[in-house]
Amino acid sequence: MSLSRRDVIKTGVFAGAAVALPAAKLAGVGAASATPFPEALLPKPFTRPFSPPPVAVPYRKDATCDYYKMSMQAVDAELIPGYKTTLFGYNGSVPGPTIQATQGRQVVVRHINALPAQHPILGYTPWTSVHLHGSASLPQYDGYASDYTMPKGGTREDGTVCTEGEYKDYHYPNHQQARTLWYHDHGVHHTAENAYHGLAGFYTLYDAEERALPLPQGKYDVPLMVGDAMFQAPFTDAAGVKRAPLLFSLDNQSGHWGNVIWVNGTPWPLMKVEPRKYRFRVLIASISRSYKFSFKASTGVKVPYQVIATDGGLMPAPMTISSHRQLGGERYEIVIDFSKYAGKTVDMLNASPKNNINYLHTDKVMRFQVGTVVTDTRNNTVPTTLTKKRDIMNLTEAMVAKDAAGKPIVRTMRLERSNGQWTVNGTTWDKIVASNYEFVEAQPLSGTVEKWIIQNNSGGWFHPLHIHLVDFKVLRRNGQPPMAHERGPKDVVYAGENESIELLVKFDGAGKYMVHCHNLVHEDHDMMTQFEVLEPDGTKCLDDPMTSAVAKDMSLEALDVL
Amino acid sequence: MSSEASLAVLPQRSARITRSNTVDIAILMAAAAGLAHLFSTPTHWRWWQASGVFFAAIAAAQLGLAVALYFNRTSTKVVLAGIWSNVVVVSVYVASRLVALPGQPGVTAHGAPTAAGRSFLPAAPEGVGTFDMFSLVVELGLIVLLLTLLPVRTRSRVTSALMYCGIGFCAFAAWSLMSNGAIR
Repeated sequence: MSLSRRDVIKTGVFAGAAVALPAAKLAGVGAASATPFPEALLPKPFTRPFSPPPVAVPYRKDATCDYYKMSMQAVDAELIPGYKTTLFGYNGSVPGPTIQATQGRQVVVRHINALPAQHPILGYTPWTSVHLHGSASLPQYDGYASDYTMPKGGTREDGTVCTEGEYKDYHYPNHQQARTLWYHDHGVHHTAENAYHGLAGFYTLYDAEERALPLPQGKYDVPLMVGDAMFQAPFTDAAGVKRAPLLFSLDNQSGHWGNVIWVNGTPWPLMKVEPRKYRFRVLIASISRSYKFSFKASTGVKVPYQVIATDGGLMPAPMTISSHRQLGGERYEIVIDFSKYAGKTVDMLNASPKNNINYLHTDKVMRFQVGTVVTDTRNNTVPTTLTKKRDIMNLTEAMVAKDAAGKPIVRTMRLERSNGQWTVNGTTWDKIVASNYEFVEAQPLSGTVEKWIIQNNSGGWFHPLHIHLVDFKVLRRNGQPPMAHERGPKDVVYAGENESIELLVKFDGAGKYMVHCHNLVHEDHDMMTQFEVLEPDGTKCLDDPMTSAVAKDMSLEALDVL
Repeated sequence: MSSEASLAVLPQRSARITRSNTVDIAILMAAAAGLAHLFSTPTHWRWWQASGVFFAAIAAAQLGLAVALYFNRTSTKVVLAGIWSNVVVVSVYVASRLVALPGQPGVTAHGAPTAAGRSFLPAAPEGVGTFDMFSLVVELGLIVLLLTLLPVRTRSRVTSALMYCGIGFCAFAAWSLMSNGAIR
């Protein structure tokens, strides 16, 4: 017997609500905040003033090198007005101070782990390993995950206690071309928590060619570290201080998505700009979230912008685009011309790619309030040719090294979840540890080029795959040319859902280096493997990531001249 | 209301309906929904024992309904029991996607002590997945099919009640969004 029209309508109300309400959540429409911190107490978007990270000051200098001291320590910051949040900062700063380096001049950074023995809420021991992301550092200075530095009183993986705390000197050669690098924690199994709590900072490398370009410089060259966070319920501590601790979840080890978008540590900031060109070095420090950025003026028009550099430095030529997607670890340098928007505002927005968890204001990033006066008209041009150093972007498939049988060397990296674990080609970091750090996924020869295919056959996850040491060229994405914004040297590639990306990878240097997912929750559980670049004659490099330069006891620090 | 009473009110309609395609499809849907819940029971038991028990009970009820329908047990009482048990399942599902259910466990991170009071992420609404949306659609289809097996007057009362349930879902969703500040 069929239903009457009235019965159909009444039943439809029930069925429609039952399907639409969960489906709306799936689509991220009006998603309920899972954070216990009341939404009403969060700052309204675009009300907090923008601030750039501080610039690091060298501890000392000599003819060839700048020396820095960085103390990783807990710090109380005021991310939400009126509430203190305990973070981990380099020299007490979140983001860490920006290290400005020049090609050909070395940098040594002494990183001291002065963090608490146990995270006050999460309860883990915050051991650290500092990775300078984008640098062709020697293996022992690359932030190898298991080469960690202990806090005083912390308990190591083997159960022993570090009584004095440790430090380690990291040496950076700076022989690469100009680029935006960043240093961040890489300690095994706790990278996500450590980076989430603030252990990340910019490291900008300049060279003569890039300095000579008429691109925006100085105050018009602005680093933007974008991240997201979530807060626990506020409370007042015994000293009468109102506190809002960071909230961290693992969501079945798939990632952590916050409801507050911050830039350089400020939620949804407002930046005052002049009506001229600005260069922004956009870095995603979110531990899991990916973004699709665009810019929209208060007049309602979409603002085009130019991408001038990628992870590995300047692109051969600028690419003009209206939006781009970007995920953890990726850096894009973009130039926005505000000259047409004097007296207006321009919003940086996020049309979130799929498989992110969205909240009320995660579609917004920051606002630019455009003034009416230009105080400096110099360096206000984007040239049509940006660099002649095209060793990576000139790579072709014909350059791929051949194996003993004369076939081009092509390796596939499958990114997948297997038996509840995140893996690269079925390998986890546990396997590397169990092999006493001997297992390697590949052994390319130094100076050669290989073709690597990154495969993500899942429709449910995206992965930012980061290959240490190298720069690579994105050759094809799903058989098609790479997207406009990724036509420059890269070290992280967006492996989207059901995507296969072909890379041409050039191996300079030698030794064991990591390759891993830069969704830091995936990385910690345990989506990392390694490859070993052999010397040109096929012998193994003598520099070892675990033994060639180990962390030292803090009791030696005062006597150890930096 | 007994089937005899239904007959008294609606003499034109038999309370026990002859097996039809509608019943066959309802059997398949009840069995599919029951198996889906049975399949999900171990996972839910490990996560939260109360939800494991609930899933096992749902599976038993839905498979029991499939068996009853298979043996032509299509009395008004059985059909109403089938409808309302599935309405309860759908209601709990919708609620669990909007708010954390009472007693639902919180989440702890790896390496963090799991002692009471140290859970740092409160219980949160469950995520929405393809499998559970499939089960939801099957249950809604089953409810519609069962409605067609009811006498006209009973059916009208039941659909009115369902409409009020739907309105209740919307009100509950609005309340949950307002209570956590997502809308003001």
